[in-house]
Amino acid sequence: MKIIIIVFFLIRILPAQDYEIEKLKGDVKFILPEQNNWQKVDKKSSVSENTIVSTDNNSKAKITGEGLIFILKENSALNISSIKKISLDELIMALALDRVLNAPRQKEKLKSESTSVYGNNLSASNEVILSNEFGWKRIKGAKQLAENGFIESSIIAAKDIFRKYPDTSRDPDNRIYFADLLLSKKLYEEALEDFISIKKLNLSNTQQEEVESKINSINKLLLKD
Amino acid sequence: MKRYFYTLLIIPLFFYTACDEPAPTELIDNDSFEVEIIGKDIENEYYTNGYDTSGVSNEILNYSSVISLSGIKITNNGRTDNISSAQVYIFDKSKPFRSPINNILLGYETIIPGIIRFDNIVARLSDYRIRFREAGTLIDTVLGKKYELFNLNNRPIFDPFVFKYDANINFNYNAFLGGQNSSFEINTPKEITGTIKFINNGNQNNLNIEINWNGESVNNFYVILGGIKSINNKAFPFYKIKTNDDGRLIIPDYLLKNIPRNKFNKFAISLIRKYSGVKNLNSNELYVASQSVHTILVDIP
Amino acid sequence: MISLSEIYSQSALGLNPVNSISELSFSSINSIEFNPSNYNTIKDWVFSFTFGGEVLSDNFNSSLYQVSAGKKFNGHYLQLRYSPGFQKEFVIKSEQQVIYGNDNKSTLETRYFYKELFSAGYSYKLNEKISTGLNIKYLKEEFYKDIVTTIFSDTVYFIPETEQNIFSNWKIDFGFVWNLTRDINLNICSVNLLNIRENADLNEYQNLRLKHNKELLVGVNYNLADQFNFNLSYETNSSFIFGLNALHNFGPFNAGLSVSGFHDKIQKPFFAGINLSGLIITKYFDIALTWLKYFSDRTASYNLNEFKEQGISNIINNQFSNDKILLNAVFKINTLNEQKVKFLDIEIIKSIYPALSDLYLDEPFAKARVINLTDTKIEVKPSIRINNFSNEVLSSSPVAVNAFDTADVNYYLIIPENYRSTNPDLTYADFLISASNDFIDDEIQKPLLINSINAWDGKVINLRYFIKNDLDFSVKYSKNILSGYKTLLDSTISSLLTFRKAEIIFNSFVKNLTYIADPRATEEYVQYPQQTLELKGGDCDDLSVCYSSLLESIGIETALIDYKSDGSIRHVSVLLNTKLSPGQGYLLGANDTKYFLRKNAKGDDEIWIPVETTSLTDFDDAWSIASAKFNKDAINNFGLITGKVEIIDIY
Repeated sequence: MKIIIIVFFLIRILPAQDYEIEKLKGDVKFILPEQNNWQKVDKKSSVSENTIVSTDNNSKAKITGEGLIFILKENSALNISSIKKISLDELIMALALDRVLNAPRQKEKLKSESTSVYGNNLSASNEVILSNEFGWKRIKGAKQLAENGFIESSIIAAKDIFRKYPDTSRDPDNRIYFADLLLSKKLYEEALEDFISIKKLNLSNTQQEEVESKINSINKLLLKD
Repeated sequence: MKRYFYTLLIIPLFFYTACDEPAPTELIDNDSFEVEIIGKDIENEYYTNGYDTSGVSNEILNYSSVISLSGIKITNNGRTDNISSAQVYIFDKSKPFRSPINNILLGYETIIPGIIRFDNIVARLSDYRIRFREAGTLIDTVLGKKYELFNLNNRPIFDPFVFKYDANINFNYNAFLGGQNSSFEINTPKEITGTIKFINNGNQNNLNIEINWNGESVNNFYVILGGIKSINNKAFPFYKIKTNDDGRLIIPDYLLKNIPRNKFNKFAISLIRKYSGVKNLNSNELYVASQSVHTILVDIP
Repeated sequence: MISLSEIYSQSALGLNPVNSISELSFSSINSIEFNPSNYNTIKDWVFSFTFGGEVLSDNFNSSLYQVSAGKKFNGHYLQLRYSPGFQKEFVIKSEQQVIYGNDNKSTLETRYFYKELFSAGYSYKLNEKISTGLNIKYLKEEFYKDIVTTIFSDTVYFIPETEQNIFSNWKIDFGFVWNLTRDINLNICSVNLLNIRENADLNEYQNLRLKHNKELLVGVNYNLADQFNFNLSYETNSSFIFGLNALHNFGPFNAGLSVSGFHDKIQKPFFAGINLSGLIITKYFDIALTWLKYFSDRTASYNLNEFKEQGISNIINNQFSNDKILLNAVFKINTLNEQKVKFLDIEIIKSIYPALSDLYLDEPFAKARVINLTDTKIEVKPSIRINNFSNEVLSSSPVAVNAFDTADVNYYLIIPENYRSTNPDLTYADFLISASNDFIDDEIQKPLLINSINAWDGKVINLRYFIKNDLDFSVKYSKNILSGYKTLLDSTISSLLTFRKAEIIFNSFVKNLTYIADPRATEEYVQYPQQTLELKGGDCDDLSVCYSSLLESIGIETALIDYKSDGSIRHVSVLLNTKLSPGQGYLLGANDTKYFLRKNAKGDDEIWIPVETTSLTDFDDAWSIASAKFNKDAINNFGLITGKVEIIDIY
């Protein structure tokens, strides 16, 4: 156990500074994995994997490292570790993982009475949903991953963002965009699931038609198999 | 199961109360006899009335006349004397003789109506004497004459009469005045000879006497057990034991144990084999008896 | 199988007045113990009686011969018998008649009685093959003789008397039975070995007494086939008896015949007689009807001299005995419990970890295989008694088992609340199984290892027992910490209260842990929170357990993250529920990589954060380190899918 602890300390002290953020224009900030606060990029900053990069209005950042270059457009945010090519299998695994994390937990009844009381989720009733820009930034960042060819990473990133920033998940366009990505990767069942849940959103007529037709065609495709 | 338990207990009880015991097995003892006390008063020797050493006087008093022939052996201390005896009593039934106090019929007066011969030997006449004791008084009376022949050991001083065993002895009667003469043969039994053995000699209470003799299966056979009184050497009978003439008799201890050893010093055991019968002669009942007698005298151990 | 009648010949009608000394032949039933059909083992009480009579010409004279009771306990067997029918009476009709004056005649009689009144037997089974025993009999010989006594007084006269001689006689004999094989047994016993008798003074009676020559009786029984048996007994006075028995099974009972013949030195002809019996044998009772026939003519009367020369040595079987017909009944009553179920095998399938208290309520820690020995379906109840562990007998649920069938029975356990031993204990457990309420049918003792109260089976899910064990302590400890931060907590917005409390408690709890390395820290040893705090240190299991306990005690939901992939060392850290909704994530700071969403039972997402309890610096560091590891191992390396990382909720 001692060894692990020491290793952890080392990790902390010397994170692998594998990436570099270069401010191309405007305001670019980042937040390191162990930190809670944004740091501004002056010109260039060396950062580690799992760092979140964010651009404001009229800003642009260039992210290099591990043999790739990525341009982050304005009003976007991105976790650097998403900028990687992952295989279809890994995508499927990630989607499965997402499902695991998504599954509501069943509380087992113990034979002996639990003495702890969890109490009600007091904050639920007082929930104040701030219209969090950051979620939209993240979505934009995720779209840019797709545009840059990191489609699989994009899908994964989007799933995470939709959960962590629920208001983004209520936007039909964004949802349809990423559901289409699933279609493009021929992940029909997952796409179907998405479209079905998209259907429950507040859709315009055209959106509704689009979603319905996509649902039907997927169903046909699935039946054929 | 427990219920049955109690039923179980009842069953054997039922059987127990409801049944008999196993039947006994009989063992047949050939040593049978019939015993009777004949000398009821040891001080009274009235039995010694001269008839013979056997029988109860009552018996012969039923008849008009009695003819008694005896061949008697007396063995004492290894020496045996042979006696031949013949006696005839002709009673006058109209003249009975009774004891003064108790009025017991002791006999009748006799008559001599003729001459009697046995095997051609004329019988003598001798006194018919009765001795008895009643209430301490001794009475000695002669009731008349009887006909008698007596011989001891074939001595010439006695009558030449010899008792023949297992033979016929001729009886002849010649009446003096009128009356019927008669003559007939009297059959005699085989001679009896016996021996005495004591069993359990050491113990007065367990003393048995074993008697062995030459058995002839004669109907009338009995043993008289008596004692010889120490004071006056007189014989006194105790028991008449009737048994089978099969050659063996054991006199059991219970008959012997109480015999007072202070009064008697010898046992007198008489074995008697008797032929007897009744003859009717001139409408008189004539009792004829012939016996072989062996009397053995032994010291009481 | 030794038949009833064979034993009759040896005992009741024996060549010697003594029973064969063995548990096997004391009572008729014992003799049938050999029967492999198993109907006839005496387990407990046995009662018998014999009723019958002698047959003579046209007469049948019946009586109760004997009644007896026997009891078996452990290896001992005791029997008592009262035998009113064991007697022989001789009447000597002497025709000795006595005339008492007046021609009053009376016949003198002599009677001889030979009786065996009581007997007692005892035998002991030394082992499966050998048993030995002894037999004591009480006999009486009574001789009554009628006599007259002559009284020589003023007159001489007879008085009748009866001479009476009564002699008691005790006989003791010993015997021995040896089961050579299942089918052959040998027995040997003494005859008239010890005779304690009053002596007669007079030779006359000495000769009439029951003959008591010392002899030896040896016998052999041989099962030619199942239920078919041959037996032979020889007595050293040149007498012997041999017999054959055959039984046939008719469902609930066995029935059969037995025939035996005997030779006796004194009785004529050479084969003096024959015994024929019809038998019915069932589980609860046996009945036999026997006809004993002598081959010579038996009459009701014999010559006295013959009797005096020969005498008798046996009361009921002698040259003067008659043909007999006997009914013998034996009742077998079992008040004992019979074993209905038996263990075949017991397997302990789980080690006992006292910390994992209710684990053994749901899943059995031991399994037994049992067999139903009876012919009906029974319900068996398992129970267990563990030495040095719990004082009571713990019962588990009953199991139904069909006739002659086997079944698996589970043993569950309740860990006593006060069990506190910090050392492993090698003790023993008595596994019990019973088919009825008051009798234990089988019992097997097995050694059992009870681990210490700190022992852990290595399954992270079972760490919850350590976490939840002493929440009273944890709640006091947590509340004590929080009480020092009242102002801070009062000024915290309600949604962040959970987070803030977790932070405060961590920082306090970590402060007290100044010493890390613990020589006893191993994978199988887990400290309770109180121990960790007292010892001021522990390994990742201990620290995670402690922190989780402190949080759970004040109502904060936690889970354990089990990292199985760290080579040979497994790692555990804590995940706690901030109760924040995703929209409130910003309250935790700008970095959304540091928290994770999990759906609650209602289906709503809640924010959970991981904390690395071994990072004994501060909450932020612990949170950051844990997040980085979680992101890498659980998310990016798909650990949650591959199974290398597992989240275990604490319920």
